[in-house]
Amino acid sequence: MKGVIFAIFEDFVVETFGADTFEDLLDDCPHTAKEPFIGPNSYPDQWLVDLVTAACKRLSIEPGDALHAFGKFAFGGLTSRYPNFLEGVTHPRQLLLLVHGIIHVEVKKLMVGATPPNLFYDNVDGDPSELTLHYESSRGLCQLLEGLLLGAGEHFGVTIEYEQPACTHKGDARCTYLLKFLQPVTA
Amino acid sequence: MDEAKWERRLAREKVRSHELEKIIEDKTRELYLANESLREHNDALEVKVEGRTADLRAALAVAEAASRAKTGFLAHMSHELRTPLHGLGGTIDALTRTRLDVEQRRLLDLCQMSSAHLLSVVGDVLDFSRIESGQLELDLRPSSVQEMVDAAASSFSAAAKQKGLTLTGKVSADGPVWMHADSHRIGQVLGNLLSNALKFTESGEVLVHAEVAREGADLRTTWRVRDTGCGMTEEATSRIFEAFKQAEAATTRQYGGTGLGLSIVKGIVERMGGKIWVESKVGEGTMFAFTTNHKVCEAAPHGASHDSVELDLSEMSVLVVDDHPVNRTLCKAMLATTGCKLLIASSGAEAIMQVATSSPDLILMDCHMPGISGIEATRTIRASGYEKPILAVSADATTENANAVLACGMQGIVGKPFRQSDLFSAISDMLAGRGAFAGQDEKSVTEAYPIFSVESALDLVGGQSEMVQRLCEVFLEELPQSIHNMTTAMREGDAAAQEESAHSLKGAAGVVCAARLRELVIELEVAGREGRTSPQKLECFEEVAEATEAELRAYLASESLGT
Repeated sequence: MKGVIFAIFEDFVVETFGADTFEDLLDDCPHTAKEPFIGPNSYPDQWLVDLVTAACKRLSIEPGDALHAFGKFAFGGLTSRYPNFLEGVTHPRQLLLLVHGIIHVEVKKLMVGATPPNLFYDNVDGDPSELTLHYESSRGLCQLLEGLLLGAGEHFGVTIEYEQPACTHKGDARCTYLLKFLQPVTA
Repeated sequence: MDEAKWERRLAREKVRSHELEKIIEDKTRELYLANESLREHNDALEVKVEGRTADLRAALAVAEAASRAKTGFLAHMSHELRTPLHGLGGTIDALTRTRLDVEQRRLLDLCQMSSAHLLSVVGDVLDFSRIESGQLELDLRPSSVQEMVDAAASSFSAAAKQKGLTLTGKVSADGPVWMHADSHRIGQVLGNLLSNALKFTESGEVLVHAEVAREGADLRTTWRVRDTGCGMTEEATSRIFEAFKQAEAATTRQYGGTGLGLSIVKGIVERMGGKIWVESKVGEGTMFAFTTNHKVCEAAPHGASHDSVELDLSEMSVLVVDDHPVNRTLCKAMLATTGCKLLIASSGAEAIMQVATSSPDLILMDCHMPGISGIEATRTIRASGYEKPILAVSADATTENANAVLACGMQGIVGKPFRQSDLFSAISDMLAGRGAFAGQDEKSVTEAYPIFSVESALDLVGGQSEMVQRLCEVFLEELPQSIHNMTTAMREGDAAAQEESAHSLKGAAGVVCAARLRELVIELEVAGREGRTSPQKLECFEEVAEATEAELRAYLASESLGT
């Protein structure tokens, strides 16, 4: 996983729980490198899992809730670092449709070795207030994805409701979300 | 936070900062190398483009040379074929006016028909070449739709009558219609279609119909030639406009023809911005239709029709210059009815002498003559101060020749072979000031004269080149002062000074045969005399004066090198 995600996680912990807490988390994770996380560098996925697990343990919160909260925070962190990706975008549905075909392609160009997840969609040309999203990633971070989705909704002022009929954590091949946008795209 | 944690955090931030700097340096280096590579690639691409451009330029030069060669060939062929044809046709015409017995007349009629046919075949080939090379030029003049239809119908009325067919001409328009069109070319198209219609119709009628619709200043005309002849199959109509194709192979054997007629017709119609099509049914007949778009001519122009063959040149002397006795005889015969006094010259040199001794009122000048050509003779005659009209008579129908004719100082051109009416209308136009110069702007008039003619200058001093050189040297010594005087007068709007300076320069320019400068200062002298100053001509004057100086210096340089 790219250093930018770790850096955003660090910002999240420092801003939410203080710098001490982050230093404690590093102490809790003896395998995690003690060097700083640099945006374009790559780090083992497991380190993020370890840090999140340590945070949950230390702060007594559920891992799912932690990933949700981090996802919502991470949306802001990502868009403030890469504002160009949001140019001309006014709705989370629009953004989602750009993510895999354009944004992830650009991410791979900018960051050598980046392996973003696969996202694909059903009902693209159907009801503009709905979208079916499929998520495929060996990392299995679907709760982080949910947090990112909610962060996007907040950013655009659109409430997103969703159901998750399939999830890799339940043995499905991929995670599927039936998304409903309460404020549909306007022309 | 305890101190140890702060220190650890600070140390980590220092490492982060260092790492980021290193990344930036690496990326900057990568960017620099990528830019260098891009520049090299760009340079290589430019070299390649330059190479390709040079290749293309060379190919273009070859193509242009080929095109010039083709134009030259066309001109040559035009001249070589049309001159003897002209002689043949004229001689036959003259023969028909002599006393003949029945058999001689029949044989002469056959001769006349063959000659006319040959002329039309040569005309077809030339037209086809012109269309192919995009050199078909239109001569737009005020033309009457009614006259064009009538002329087309009447020229085929005898043939229609002979076959027992009814031939009708009809115009549908609100009132008489005049337009700026090339009536000769429209007549050629109608003639071709009518000739085909009559050829393939054994009974019934042939109709030529022009339907005119006016849209503002534009006239859209649909011309139709309809017959009740044998008609054509759909397959035959689909390739009827292709060159060298006729509806059936047997057509050539049965009816003759080059197979170029309809492709020429199509080329002419398209050159006029129209389109042509055909509708036909076997056994019922055929309708050829074409459209033309022309500007409306609001009023029938005065004297627009040249059909009259009356021309009164009594009390005028006309010099006919032609190296070929047949052409001289023909011109003499054609001009006999005009009452003019005829002078004859059989070469350019003779023409120059005749002008010097008898100063005729009008000259008909053949362009292509051995020795001094008509163009050269005209330059010399003009340089000697002769100002009356000179009409070119030429079998070279190309635009290049027409330009050369105008540039050397002739006012018009009549193409061989010509009818008496063609010659008369050209002479009338020229005498009425409607020659080829009429309507051109002043700059063109100036450009019609050569900057410097060494031949004329030599001619003036009896061929003594040393004398010409000396005159040029003196002229060049004086020229800067003359230019200064002229430009000062023009710039300051001093009409009297303009007249005086122009008068002085006129004489000097005449002596060295700097014809363009001389013509320009004559204009400026007249303007000055009439109290008009010509600041707008200043640039033109400076250009011509500079060009004159450059040509004279080039001439002197070439003489000093002995070239």
